[in-house]
Amino acid sequence: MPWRQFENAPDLLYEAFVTTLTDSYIYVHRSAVTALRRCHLPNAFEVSVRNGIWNVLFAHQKNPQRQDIVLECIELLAGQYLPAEEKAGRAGAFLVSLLAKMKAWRVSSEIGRLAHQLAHASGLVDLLLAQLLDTERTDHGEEQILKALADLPIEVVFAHRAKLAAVPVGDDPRARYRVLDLVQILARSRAWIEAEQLAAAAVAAIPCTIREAPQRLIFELVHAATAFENALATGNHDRAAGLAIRWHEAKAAKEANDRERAQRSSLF
Amino acid sequence: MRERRDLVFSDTYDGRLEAFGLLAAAAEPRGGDAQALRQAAGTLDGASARFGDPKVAVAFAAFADLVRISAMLVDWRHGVLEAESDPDRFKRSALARLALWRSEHEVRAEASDLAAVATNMDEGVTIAEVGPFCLALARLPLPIGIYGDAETQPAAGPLSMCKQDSDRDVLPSLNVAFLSFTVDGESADQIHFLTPYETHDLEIEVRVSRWPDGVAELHLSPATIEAAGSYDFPAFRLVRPAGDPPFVMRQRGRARIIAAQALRAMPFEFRYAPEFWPKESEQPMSVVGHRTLRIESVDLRNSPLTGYPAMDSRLLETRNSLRRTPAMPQHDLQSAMTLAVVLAGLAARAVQDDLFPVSPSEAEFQKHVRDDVSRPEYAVELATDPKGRSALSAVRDRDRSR
Repeated sequence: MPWRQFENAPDLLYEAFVTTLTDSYIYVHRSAVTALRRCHLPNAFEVSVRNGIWNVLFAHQKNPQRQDIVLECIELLAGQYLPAEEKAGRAGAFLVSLLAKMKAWRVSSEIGRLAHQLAHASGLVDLLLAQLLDTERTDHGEEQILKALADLPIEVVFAHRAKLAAVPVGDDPRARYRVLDLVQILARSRAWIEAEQLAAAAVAAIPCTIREAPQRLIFELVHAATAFENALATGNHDRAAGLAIRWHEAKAAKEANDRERAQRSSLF
Repeated sequence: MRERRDLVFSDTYDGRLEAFGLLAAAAEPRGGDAQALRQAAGTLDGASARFGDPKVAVAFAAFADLVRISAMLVDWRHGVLEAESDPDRFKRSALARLALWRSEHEVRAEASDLAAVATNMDEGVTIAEVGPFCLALARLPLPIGIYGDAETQPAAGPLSMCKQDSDRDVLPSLNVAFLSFTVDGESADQIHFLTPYETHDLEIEVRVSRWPDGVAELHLSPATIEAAGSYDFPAFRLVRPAGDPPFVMRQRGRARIIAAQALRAMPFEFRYAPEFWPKESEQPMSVVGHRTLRIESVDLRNSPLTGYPAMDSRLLETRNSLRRTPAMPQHDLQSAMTLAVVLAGLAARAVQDDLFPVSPSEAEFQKHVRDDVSRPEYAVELATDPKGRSALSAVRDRDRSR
């Protein structure tokens, strides 16, 4: 049906459509769920559609072979059919618990949008952190999760600041850069203490070797900055003045290291 | 996965620490370097444009604007203490910028801490409050922007690094700050009244942080959505003045409103846009300050409201005050003004013509009011009600039925 004609369609058509959501054949109710992603029924049918989607979701939630249908139902409920208070309440927490049972690759491309829609649901931050630390997730998946964390409201991040600050730094030099994302998210959410703690943990985790020196110097700079902002936030202004000097010293050390590395002859 | 090349932190955090030091220095009763504060604000603006996280960028942009406002306040304090000519222009500019800042940033969660610092800055501010304002701003923790758009740089050999350092030294950001607008010698920071069909003086004052190479003129042109034939506002052309930057320039032109406004019409709005000429040359990185003119041009001489100029101007004040009332419906405003014009006319005639030599009874007074309301020019708008209800009730009923 052309989209312009939706508002002209008789209610009888929509009533017939809603019944397909409770059809016993998988092909039928699956097609109905897919169709709902492309159209929105009049408000009068919202409750019927919502109940129909819940029916489909409950029917398939325990079947590992039907996780694609479950994910579609979660997207519909979170995106269109659940009011904000239900998304922040038990219904939202239930949807997050279903997402947590799925493989990271299945939800990675949708995690940003779902996290935005379920931002206030219980368990969401745990889900995102679990996926961030999942050894099977891809680089693309990590980027999506970090974007989802960055998109969370300030109050949500602040409420879960301790969990974010406890993320391990790791031994992989490339993977360590995710700590900087988390520091940025924490500092932006007024969690300066935790931002400083995380930056300090990163500095402590990077060995003092020539190979690791550039990264360590970057983290030392970030640590000095987080400590400076934390000192301002806690009213410790004398410490802040000292930390500003420390930041400049760390930057001078980093620039000297950069120059030294640039002058070093390449083996190739 | 993030790459090291996405890191902009070490390039951008310098500006934040520099602003901290300058603001802390400005907290001293006679301290502060206004020009350095402006440059720091420009640096912060540049940093905010590079951050990948928009929430960090908004906080930095809002902070940069407040640093710029603090620079104006430091200039004001210095001018007052040194008995310079008209130091209050800096205060006016700072307050006008603060009003713009509030309209842009106050509702944003990212700038809520900054808004709290600026809460007490209003018309009654004294130079003694400039220091505490700068100190509070200096001591405000900010988010930390780490990732963003890294600037493309050539291979980082020792020579190229030296060149980058020298380039950074000689090219501060190019900012144009509008310091003041005056119309016929009076500041036009609020809605200004211009008599239609008459020529008025319009003077403009701008500060340019530096003059780009190869630039012949700075053009300041009015941008507006008003009908082309309804106004004649000057476009200013400023040439490079002698001396070192920053450059403060003034120019005067003639402005004319060609079409008068109706009482119910919103004011004309003009915004001056700066552009260096020729167009291919470097253009301003940021444009700040008061550059919007809101012009009222009701023709009270040819189309008086009550026939009494003082009463007409009071009615315009009342209308402007009602317009500023939050959530004032347009229909209610129109109805109130229609009634106000009638009653103001009656009040003016009562004084001027001694309409009531002795105190009238309530019934006689109501008859006078009804007679005025029934005059042909208002009769359609304020139809008196055969059931004897007040004109206001009739207006209210009419609005409900719309």
